[in-house]
Amino acid sequence: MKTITIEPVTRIEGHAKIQIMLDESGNFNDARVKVVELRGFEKFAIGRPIEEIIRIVPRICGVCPWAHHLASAKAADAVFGVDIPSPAKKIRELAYMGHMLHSHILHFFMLAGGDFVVGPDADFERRNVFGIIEKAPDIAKAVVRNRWLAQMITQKLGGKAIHPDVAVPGGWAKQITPEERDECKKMLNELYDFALFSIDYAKKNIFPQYLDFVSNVSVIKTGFLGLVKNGNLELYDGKLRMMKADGSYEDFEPKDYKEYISEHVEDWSYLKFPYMKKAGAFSMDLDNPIGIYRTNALARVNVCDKISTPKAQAELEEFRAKFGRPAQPTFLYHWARLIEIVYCAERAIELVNDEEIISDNIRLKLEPVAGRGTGCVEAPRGTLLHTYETDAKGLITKANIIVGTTHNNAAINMSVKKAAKDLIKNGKYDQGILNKVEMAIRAYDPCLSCATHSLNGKIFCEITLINHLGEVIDVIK
Amino acid sequence: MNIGKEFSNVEKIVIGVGNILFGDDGFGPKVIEYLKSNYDIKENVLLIDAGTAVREILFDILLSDIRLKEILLIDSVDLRRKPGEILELKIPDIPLDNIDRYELHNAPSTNLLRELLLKNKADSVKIFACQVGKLPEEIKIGLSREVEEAVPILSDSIYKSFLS
Repeated sequence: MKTITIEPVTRIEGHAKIQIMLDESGNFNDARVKVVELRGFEKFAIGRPIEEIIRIVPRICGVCPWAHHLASAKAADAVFGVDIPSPAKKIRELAYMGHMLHSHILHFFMLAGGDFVVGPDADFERRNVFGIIEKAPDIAKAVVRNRWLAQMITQKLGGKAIHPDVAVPGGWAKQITPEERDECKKMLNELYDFALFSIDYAKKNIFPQYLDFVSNVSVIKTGFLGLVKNGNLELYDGKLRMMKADGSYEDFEPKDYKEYISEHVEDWSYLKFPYMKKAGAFSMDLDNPIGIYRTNALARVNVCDKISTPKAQAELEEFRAKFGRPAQPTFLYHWARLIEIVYCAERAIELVNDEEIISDNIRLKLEPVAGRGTGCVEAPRGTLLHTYETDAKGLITKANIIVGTTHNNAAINMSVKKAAKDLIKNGKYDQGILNKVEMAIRAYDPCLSCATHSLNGKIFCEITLINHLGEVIDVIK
Repeated sequence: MNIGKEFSNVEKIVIGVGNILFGDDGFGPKVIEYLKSNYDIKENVLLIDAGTAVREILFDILLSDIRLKEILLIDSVDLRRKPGEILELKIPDIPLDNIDRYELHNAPSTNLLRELLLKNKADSVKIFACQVGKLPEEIKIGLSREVEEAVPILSDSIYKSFLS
């Protein structure tokens, strides 16, 4: 047996190590994706005031700071047992739409974009953002402009964009002025146009040439998890919906997640493998998976009955007409992400035009309490859950976080297995095939940077070759 | 097209890179904090505590019409030197096949730095990195004594050489 190790997977956040094991004939035997996990948060949080944790969690990840910030704030609200003022909810959601737009535009055009705009078989040196600059310079500039606009919206509303500290237990710390609101309106009008351009551009110029590839490579059959609110697509609030692969589903409050999600452990991975508890078992067998579900954009688009904004709803209908519900092909994550870009722009415009946005009723006065609470948002990379327990002084006694990438751990492994099985035959593979295996991971936009970079080349540059006897025959650094 | 008026008068950007939740990895942000607290920073200088989001910032600079005099990256590194030792990493000296060994938070930042020079986005791109002590495997805030002592030394040097 020979092992091909591809690492790191470029352009996803942080690091992943892929091993593809071939049998003696050179055909696929097995594959594993090992990712770095944030460790020690639970221990670190104990004894700290809950309001301090809300300010610290954006540091967990420079890529999803707002998701951690708001999930943490919502968990704190729940600990205090309060329903925050309506204007505060709307400001939080508006800021979050800005963050989602900022993140999704990055992923589609800069991270995944290289694969599709330049082409999956293109040379590695050009199959990235530099290739996009060469091939579509005007789009590259528009991407920067619109990401900046999205970032500025979060900054106008929250004071800081990268490491926000404006959400507090009981609401929001900064009142929005009419001038700030008006500036956000202007920026959102531009973002709305870009959102519509993006999905239109992809449907005309990208998806048609890869439709066969998208529909047939790395297709696995799983369930899906995501927030819904009255059946609508939802990113900030609402109930969780666990949908089975056959499309049947059950809704539950995020605080009850342990009744619906169990965690499986593999001895070769630090990262756990969450699965549907009610399935009663866990299996990543490609032909007969058990308990596997996915989160992130495709999951959200699958679990919702409808989308509350008109343009995104029209896109959802077109998507479902082509791919059904639930849609399973892994590469449809990219299409779903574009539907969400449209939704976020539309929803943000609804919110910014709501007069409550400039209300001063944005924060409740709270006293420390002993309590337990779970906060849930849909992070760009999947369902994010923060849970805290506090003592009577408001100090944390217990904490737990489940990030989007963890939910997708089993599915990422299955998708890579499937891609490798589809594309590697009789020991034959080339750069294009290996790129496509990487693309299977990138589709999930996994965020693996919730850990130090450590700069340890010894680990991150290592390529291990293992023969069919399990012996390491070469290590390339 | 400028990406925003915040950048319109900026000639020099200093970016602190690293995760303050992982011990000495927080060196870069700490230097930014120190510069902000102890020096009179001119309007044409932008100090950014990027945390682990440096790549996004570099992407945006690269794709924009910004033209800078100076980009300084302050990071931590493990090259098995004496903890607290400050090193300047020369971008042209970093071989492509060693990118990961010298990776600066989330590949391909090194490529991005190289591209910034190639595309003439800045007259100068420099990386100053501090040799870390043992990085914690689990979350732990705070620098080691050796790395903490390097913060004012590098900050002063940066201010006198580039920002004053």
